[in-house]
Amino acid sequence: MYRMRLGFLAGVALLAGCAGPGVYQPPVEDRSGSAPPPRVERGTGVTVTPVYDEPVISRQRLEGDAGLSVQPLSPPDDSPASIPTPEAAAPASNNPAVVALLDSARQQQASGSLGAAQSSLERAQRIAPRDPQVYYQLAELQRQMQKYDEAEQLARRGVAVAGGQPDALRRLWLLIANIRKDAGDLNGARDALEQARRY
Amino acid sequence: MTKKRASAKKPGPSGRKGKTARKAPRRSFRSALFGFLLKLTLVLSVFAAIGLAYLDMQVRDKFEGKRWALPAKVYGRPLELYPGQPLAMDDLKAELKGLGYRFVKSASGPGQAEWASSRVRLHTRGFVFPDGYEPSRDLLLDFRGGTLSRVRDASGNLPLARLEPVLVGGIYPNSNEDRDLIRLSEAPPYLAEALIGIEDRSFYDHHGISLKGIARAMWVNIQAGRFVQGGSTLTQQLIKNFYLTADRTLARKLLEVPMAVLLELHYSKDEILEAYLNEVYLGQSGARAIHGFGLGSQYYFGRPIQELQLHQVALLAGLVKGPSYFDPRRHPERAKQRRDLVLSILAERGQITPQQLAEAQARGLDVVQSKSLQKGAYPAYLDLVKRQLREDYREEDLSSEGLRVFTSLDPIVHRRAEEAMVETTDQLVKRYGKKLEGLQGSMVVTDPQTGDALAIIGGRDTRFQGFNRALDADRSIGSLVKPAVYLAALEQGYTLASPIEDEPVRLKLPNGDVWAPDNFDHQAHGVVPLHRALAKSYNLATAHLGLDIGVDKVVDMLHRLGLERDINAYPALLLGGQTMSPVEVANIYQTLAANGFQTPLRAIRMVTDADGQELSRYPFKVRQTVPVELVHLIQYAMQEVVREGTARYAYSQLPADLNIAGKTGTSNNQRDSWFAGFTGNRLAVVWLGRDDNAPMPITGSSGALRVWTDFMRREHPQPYLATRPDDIEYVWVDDATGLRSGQYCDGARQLPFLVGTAPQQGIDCGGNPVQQSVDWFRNWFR
Repeated sequence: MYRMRLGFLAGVALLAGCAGPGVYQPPVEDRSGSAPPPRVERGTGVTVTPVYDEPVISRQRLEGDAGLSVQPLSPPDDSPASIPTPEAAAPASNNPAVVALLDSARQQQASGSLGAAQSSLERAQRIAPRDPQVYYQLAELQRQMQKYDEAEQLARRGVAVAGGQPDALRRLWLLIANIRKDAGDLNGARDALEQARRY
Repeated sequence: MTKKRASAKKPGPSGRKGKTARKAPRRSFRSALFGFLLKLTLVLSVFAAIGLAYLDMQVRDKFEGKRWALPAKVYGRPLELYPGQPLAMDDLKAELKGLGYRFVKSASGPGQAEWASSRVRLHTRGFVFPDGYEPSRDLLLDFRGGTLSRVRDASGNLPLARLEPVLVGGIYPNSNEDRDLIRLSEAPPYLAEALIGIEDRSFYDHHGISLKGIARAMWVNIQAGRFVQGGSTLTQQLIKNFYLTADRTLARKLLEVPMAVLLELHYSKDEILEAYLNEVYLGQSGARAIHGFGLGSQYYFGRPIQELQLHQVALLAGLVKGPSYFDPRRHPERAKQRRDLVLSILAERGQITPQQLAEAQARGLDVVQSKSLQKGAYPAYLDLVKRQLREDYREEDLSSEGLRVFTSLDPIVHRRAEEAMVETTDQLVKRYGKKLEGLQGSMVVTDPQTGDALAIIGGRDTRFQGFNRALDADRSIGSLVKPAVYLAALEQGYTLASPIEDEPVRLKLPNGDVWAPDNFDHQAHGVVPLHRALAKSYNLATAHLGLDIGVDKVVDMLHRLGLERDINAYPALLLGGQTMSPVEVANIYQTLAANGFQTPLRAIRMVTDADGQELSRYPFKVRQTVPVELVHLIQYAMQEVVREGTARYAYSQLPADLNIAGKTGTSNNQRDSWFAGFTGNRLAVVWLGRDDNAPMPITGSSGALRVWTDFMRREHPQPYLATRPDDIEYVWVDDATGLRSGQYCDGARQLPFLVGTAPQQGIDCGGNPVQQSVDWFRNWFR
């Protein structure tokens, strides 16, 4: 199942590669037994289900090889003042309910109904608590309310669930850079930009 | 009263007597008397006028002001419906029952559901949520296995819909009056007719009092030879209940009539009738007085008044006369007679047809069991909600302003937690007999990703409104503290493979005592790798480790994990001498489950006023206090606890792919039995013990873990899936020596390390690689 999804994802990534920000279906590290583990552990030794180290890495390579378009990030002068804003078109979640809620949240935020936007995002989070985009938008909303501390924490929570999803990680670190810049922390913004560049 | 005033006035006129007496003494006496009477009359009229004006003011003030103290309403989480949602049909059914839906052959209106083998047709009621209006919809739901696979309405597929939230409780004023206000226009057909027919036939014709009504009542009473009918109009009854005290004094009786007339002067019949519908007393639920037809409908039928049918409306109207005498739950025969009387009056007055009469009279009472009502089912959870509300709101606002409180309580999860607690502890008590007499327990269930508090159980009697053990039982947490100890050690440079001495500890304390902990099996295990010391919950190894890094580091870690209380850095803390409540433990484990982000337990999502305007919001908030990488390491070790350590029992009942991470806890002399653990979307903390703190024959794994496992078995949670942080690498090490090993070497184990901290030195496999054992794998994942 997991492998099938990987294959599917790889395919989607290939297709989406040139289209922009791409897909970020969570390639979570699956410790579950729902998929055959890649290797068998023996003896009295490992009895914790293995962690899929290689698959994640190979997936990252795969995406890279597939030419997933990562926008050139580094502004020439490396100044946080010119942090690129992540593309307006956010990656799509695969759950229609979450897509609908994230869309409503965007509209509500744009029309100034920040409370309603927050509610929509929290509904989305309850349905897909490991979807980095949910945290991205939650953080963006706090940023708009100038609650920079909360905003950064939410974005970092997003980073914590986005492991193995370079596109999502890049976007989240760019957001953190922007939050820090807004909060007046230029050095911090530069560090975040540096992090974003890793993906 | 009038007498007193009259005599008080006497000195006045008699004082002036002297002057008039000189002119005409004889005539003056009569004229003085006349003058006095005239003045008396005038004075009395003025008093009467003032009194009337005062009454009038009172009548108007109260009628136009805020008429009733409205208790705050507390709602559970609304059930979301979306394709792909894990939702069993039975769970949906339970939710709908809680909402008072009727299960019918063909759903034709709001509050009705149609059940088929894998499909449900559902006519929702709609609800005004603070973030938007959820319309009433005619939904078609398809199920596949335990999943909701498709949601449709007449216009096609829907990405999502949500049901109205279950009302789970209220916060009542001191009078304990509870009511749901309704408008006259919301009253179901026949309610007004039935009420007027049985209580006050000339309601639309009289001016507040009805001489005809009084005469008829007297006639009936004389004929019967006793008091069977009162002549009070609905207006008078409203005055009596709404304005006047309950004591039956003559003064009150005298005020009733003028006030009724005044009320009729100012307000229309419909306004008076609407107030009556909301004021009337309809029953008693413990200390809570049920007022008004809106709440009466919920209390007796478990559904909104708009959805009542003729026979139910008639029953409610009949109850007005004597809610206790005609109580349909305690005296169903009397209630039915009364209901049928109301129905026959409706028929007699031509308001229903003979066929309707026959049909309605043939129906049962259809009253719901009071136990099946959601109110009163969640005392421990509401306790937490109230405590949080009291931090931000005044008590009188909570009980009078009709606030709406939206919580995270999940009735489905709550029911499973209750069942697991009650059934498992019953089994334990049966098994251990007298030794487990007086066993108590409590439980907290959350969604570790969002911090939502889903269920809270305060004792084995889950409806008991008293001592809330989930919040107030302060008990030694035993080994539940160990993940914090090991996490602190990992931060100080230890790795999961670090060798730890599991050897006797003797520590002389400043006060002269000697601290000499022991392992549960009274054995020392020599040098063990750190991960195993946690998995097997070795006390001696933990004591060595904790003393090495310093107890203050552990205290600091507990605070970073979310513990708010002050604690002392004494050595016994390392083995869980510290006391905590289950809710405090849940907060700590939540941070462990959420990758090192403090995610405070959240019961209340939002509070709005009676009109749905937001008053306060408790948004999702996180704060990272422990590095993601370190938490990844401890999560590995906490999974090992369940795979091969003290909590193995869990996998004898649960699917192997859940990747449970948790920890058992047993306090000294087995006075407390704990288990705290999480899967992908559920975290639960279970405590078992006795209120008198007596020793028990059960440990964390033979007690609390059973309840926890039973709950998860019912809950079907999602597996815990980790993402590997960038700075973590997995390396094969030799379990015995902690040296780097190979994938196919005997005794090798793959362990996570912070990049650069894995052992450098390797061990020779002996050139004897073991072949993959497919059989073993099959067993493991069965």
